[in-house]
Amino acid sequence: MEKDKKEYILNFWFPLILAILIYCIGDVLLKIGNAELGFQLSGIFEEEFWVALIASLPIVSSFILAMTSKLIMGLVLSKNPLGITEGIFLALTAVITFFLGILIFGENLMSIDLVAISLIAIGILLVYNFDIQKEEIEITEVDESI
Amino acid sequence: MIDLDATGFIIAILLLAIFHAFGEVMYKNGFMLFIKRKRSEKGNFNYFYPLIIPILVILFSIAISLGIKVIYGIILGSNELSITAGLFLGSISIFSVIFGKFFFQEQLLRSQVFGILLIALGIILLV
Repeated sequence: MEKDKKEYILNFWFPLILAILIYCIGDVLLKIGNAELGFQLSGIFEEEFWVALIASLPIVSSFILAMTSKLIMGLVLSKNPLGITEGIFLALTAVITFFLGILIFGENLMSIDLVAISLIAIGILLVYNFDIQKEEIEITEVDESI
Repeated sequence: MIDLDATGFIIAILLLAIFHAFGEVMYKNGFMLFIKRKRSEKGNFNYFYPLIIPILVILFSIAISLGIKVIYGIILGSNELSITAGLFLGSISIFSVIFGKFFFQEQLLRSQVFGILLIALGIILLV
């Protein structure tokens, strides 16, 4: 039982939290890099923007971190149900980036924003909840056939 | 010069979420195609040809992700991280479920519809 719990933490929670934290740090770096560059959306049509983008260490780091997070998520998804994994990933990422925005960039914290981010997180978990039930049913059906 | 007001900001994030969800559909579709061909060819399975399509789909999906990240980064640079990330991630979950129903005929349960409504309400409150 203890061993199963340890394995579950090692195979699910540890890589999942790692992927979430890496993604959140990537988002913070992406904001820092783009705030430094100060381009508008029309910048994507300018050569100057792309040169600055490639030369920007925070932005390039954020891309690498995003890809690393995607890779870790791929490993977690290969061993765990899609519904619960993706749901927790998106919900926790939304909540953590919300607080990182307040802590690092000093963004305004209003009670209505807290309610809003809680609704989004609960909504994400509900949206992906279906897959857990479906996968549980499928697993039971396979077991019965054995 | 494209300059985003509040409405433009919401529309831009929603469009990015749509493209992101579409990239996920392609990713899933590529792997489904690979498995389908593998099953249909049984013993005489040629790994080279069926592998090209999933790899191309995965690479294209990664290219879409990076392209989205570039535009998302520009929007993030001039807007609050807390609001932008919440709006973006919430929208992705809504569109991935809608696309799942549309492209793969996945079932949509009441709890999911309720979840979508909660996210929509959260997004409205957030922006």
